[in-house]
Amino acid sequence: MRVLVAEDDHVSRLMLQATLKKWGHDPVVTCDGQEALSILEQDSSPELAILDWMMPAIDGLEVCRRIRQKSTSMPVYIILLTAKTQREDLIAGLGAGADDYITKPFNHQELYARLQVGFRVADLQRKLADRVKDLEIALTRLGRLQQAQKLEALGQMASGVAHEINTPIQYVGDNIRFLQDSWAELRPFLEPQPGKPDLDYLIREVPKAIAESNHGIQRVGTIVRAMRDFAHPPGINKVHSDINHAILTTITVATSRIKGVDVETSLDPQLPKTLCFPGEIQQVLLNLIINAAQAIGENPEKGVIRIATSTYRNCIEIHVSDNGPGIAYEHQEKIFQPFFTTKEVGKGSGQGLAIAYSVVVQQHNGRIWFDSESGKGTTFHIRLPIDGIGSAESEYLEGVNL
Amino acid sequence: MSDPKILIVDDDQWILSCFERMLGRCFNLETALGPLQALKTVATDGPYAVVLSDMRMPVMNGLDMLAKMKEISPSTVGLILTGYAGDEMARSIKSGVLFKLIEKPCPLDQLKVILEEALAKYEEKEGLNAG
Repeated sequence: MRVLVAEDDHVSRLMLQATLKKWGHDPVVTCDGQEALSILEQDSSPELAILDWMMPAIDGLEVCRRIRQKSTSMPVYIILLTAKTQREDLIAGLGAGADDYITKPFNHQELYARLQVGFRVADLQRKLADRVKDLEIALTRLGRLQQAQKLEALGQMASGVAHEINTPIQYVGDNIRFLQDSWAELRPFLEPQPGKPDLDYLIREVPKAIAESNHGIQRVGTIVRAMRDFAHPPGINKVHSDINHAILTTITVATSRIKGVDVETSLDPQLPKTLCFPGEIQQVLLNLIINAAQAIGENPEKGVIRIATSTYRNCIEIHVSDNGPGIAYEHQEKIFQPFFTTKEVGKGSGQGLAIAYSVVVQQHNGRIWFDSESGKGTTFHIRLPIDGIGSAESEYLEGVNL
Repeated sequence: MSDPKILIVDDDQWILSCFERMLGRCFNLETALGPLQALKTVATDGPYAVVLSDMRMPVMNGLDMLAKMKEISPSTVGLILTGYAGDEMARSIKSGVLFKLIEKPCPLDQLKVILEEALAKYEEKEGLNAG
């Protein structure tokens, strides 16, 4: 077991070093508090530390205090080495964050016994940390699974609904068309007649009523088509997809959830078809659009979401911008973590961006990142390799915030 | 000789009456409410040049019904009008049971063109059989 020894007294330090070696440990030795601190701040630092209380510059007590201020998954077990034997001193030492203390000159058997206690605690802590890590991974998987099941159920429902609604759309649409054609045939036989103002009114209004009904049924058709496209279950193989079309479909689906926020698009008409899972990409876009609308939040009438596409070398890029308040600096490095959310309990699962990351990076060898400026807004960028295989990694140099 | 006959099959009366109204002036058109009635009609009044059917119907789906009709009159050209096109139907086009798959809602002009194509296909088959 690696044990840190920080002791400015030469003799005492050598003795501790020799004793620990004799007992089969691997002592890491230093003579000042500053170095002890920097060793303890490293990854895979020793799990147990013996710190002398009295050291120049930073003393053992101060090392304790500083190390306890930092939260690490694996806290170090600290034994304070001290000549101070007053009760107040011991209380101060434990209060500063030491786990145990041993008084100088130390007794070998006592040191051995106290080290055993320390190793036992350190061992338990390590096991606990491992379990916590396992649990976090399991929770993440569970969250994704639930999300996937939810989406699947939603997809089945959407295609069922689309199927059912398409039948009435067919005959309502055809009947409107029939009325339109019939009206055109009948119209020459209708002349305004004096004393019959109603006929005049009908001649004027009937074509409008037909045209408006036609417009309405076309709109229903568009919504249903978008819903069905969106819910189309992801295939086993990636398909060459028109990303611009996917964006327009997603905007139609999102409309009801971003009430009042304008969506502007600037889509590159030359955008090449991209080999991808279109359903998954649409899910990512939907998450980004809804997040953007929620970022705009309070003043939807002033909010604008801009979506643009472009080509970059062997990749295509999608940019989703909002003019909300921007992402708080302290949240920026956490936003792609599962379960991270700034929304109220029940409002957001904290899965949206984690899924976006997993879809873009893991499924498509792509990249997702963002620029955010306080008070001006946030832009998310997605880069996908056109051939679906080549990595966007090497193309990814600037503006990266991951 | 009158125009070759087209049979439209759907379990939705609204669709049938709408198609009769819309297409009845241009085509020699009959309708059947559901697959059982359709099979009976084919048996008594057949053969039909073209059968245009809904996919999801009670008792029997449109594809199974078309396959049965093909046993009676192999030249009949089958069309399916569906609200949701699945893989099964794509395979049926390859197998020859289905001439074309049409997704609802289908604009009327497009439907007319497809019916004309189906009729031409029927004439072609009949021509081959006669020859």
